Amino acid sequence: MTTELVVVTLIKTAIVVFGLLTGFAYLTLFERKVQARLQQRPGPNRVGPFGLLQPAADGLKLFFKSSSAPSGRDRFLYLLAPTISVIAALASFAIIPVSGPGDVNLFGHHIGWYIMNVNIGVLWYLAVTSVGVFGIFLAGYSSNSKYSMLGALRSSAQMISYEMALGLSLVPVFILAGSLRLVDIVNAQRTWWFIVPLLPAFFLYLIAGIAETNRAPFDLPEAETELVAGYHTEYSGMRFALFFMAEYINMIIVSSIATIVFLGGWWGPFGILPGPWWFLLKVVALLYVYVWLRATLPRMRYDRLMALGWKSLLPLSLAMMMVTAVVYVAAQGRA
Amino acid sequence: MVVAFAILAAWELVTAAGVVAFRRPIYNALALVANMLGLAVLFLILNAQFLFAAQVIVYAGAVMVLFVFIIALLNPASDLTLGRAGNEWIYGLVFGVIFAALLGGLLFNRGLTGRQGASTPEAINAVGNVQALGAALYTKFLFPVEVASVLLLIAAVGAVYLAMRRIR
Repeated sequence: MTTELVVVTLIKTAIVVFGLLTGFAYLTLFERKVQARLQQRPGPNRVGPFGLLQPAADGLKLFFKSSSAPSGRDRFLYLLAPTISVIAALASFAIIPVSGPGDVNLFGHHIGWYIMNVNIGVLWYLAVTSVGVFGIFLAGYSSNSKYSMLGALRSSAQMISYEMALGLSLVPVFILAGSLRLVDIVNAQRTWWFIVPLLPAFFLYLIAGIAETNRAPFDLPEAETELVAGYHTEYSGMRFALFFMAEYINMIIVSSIATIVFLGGWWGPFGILPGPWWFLLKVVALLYVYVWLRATLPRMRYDRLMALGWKSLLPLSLAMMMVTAVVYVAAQGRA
Repeated sequence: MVVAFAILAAWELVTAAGVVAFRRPIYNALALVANMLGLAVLFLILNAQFLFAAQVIVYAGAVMVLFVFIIALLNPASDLTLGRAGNEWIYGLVFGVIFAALLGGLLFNRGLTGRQGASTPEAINAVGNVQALGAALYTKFLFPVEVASVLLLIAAVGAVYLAMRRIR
């Protein structure tokens, strides 16, 4: 039993890692294509049909690029930083259920569409991202460069600030679902997706999630106009690609959690399409929102960003939490 | 389980030694992070999943990031080469011996196995880890929780007051 569990988990992990890396590669193409269309350009269209082989070309280029590293860097931390970032990004996907439990029948074993279905659920994601902050911070610290240091400071301060709002915006969902387990949360949305009663919480989560992944319009850490490239200024070649990978995988994960927690996960209307396709469709729709925002909105000023996080999002999520709790208890008392 | 514990215990000892042995402050702080992560995994082995998450989020995440921030921002040149001070090792030895004696005494009196209470792993798994902890905190231990929250509120208000006074 235990060996079987280990083997199954290893296979699932390999599939998830492969899927996330492919997802990352094609997310870069998706972003460039969509952004180009929004700006009336054709976008990448030379490598392969419709530019579909562009990610492979990009990867090959980055792989064979000579890596330059700054002198006076902290050698160990300089290598450790991208590793922490990527591992944290990949590990957070372990809790995401792509479809219902026991849906897959593999060689006579019924296994779920997730790596683990733990009791603490989303807290796992919050724990892993809070370790991921170290990757970004150490990158800036070990590079021995002022641009990197400033980018790292901004980035980690931003991530810590918005993690509060991110976590609190999910509490109303936990109240309604009565569980932190993601599979239970999705099953509680069979009739009504939580976005219907909890629309404000959804928007709070989305804003906090975009800030948490350092994406436009909150991409202060890599503000090209003032900081060159932020915390990864001094990284090149494959090591730079690792940070890039972590950022895009984090986008996928924020979208996946939003799908599971607010958009009903693998449940779709009318019973058409099997579960995993609905999941994929919703995640891609949310990723489109990411790209759409990046192509539309200008970057915010740093002090405005912090003010938004601490003075608006945090009190609003707290208020949302209290209102939900009061309404839930009142409704239970009447029923 | 014993093997896992042995590996973890070794990890904890090595990282704890690292906290005091490294010569550069940033490495001391990172060793402490590694130590806290190991502690979190210990909680996990003991079936305390919520404590695992809380330990990682609060200590390894929030608290240690602030430590690292301060080390990186202040970055005093003298700290980069922490010299071995004169007589400090004597205090270290005295308190080390006292602490070891206390621990040894406790082990000698109580033994390695504790008594089993009402909250066995089976009982907790029946309701769920988070649910069991929440129920205990907000019924049986409500008063201590409220007192702790008031204390934290006072600390937060005090911190805001100190920060605002310096601006004026």
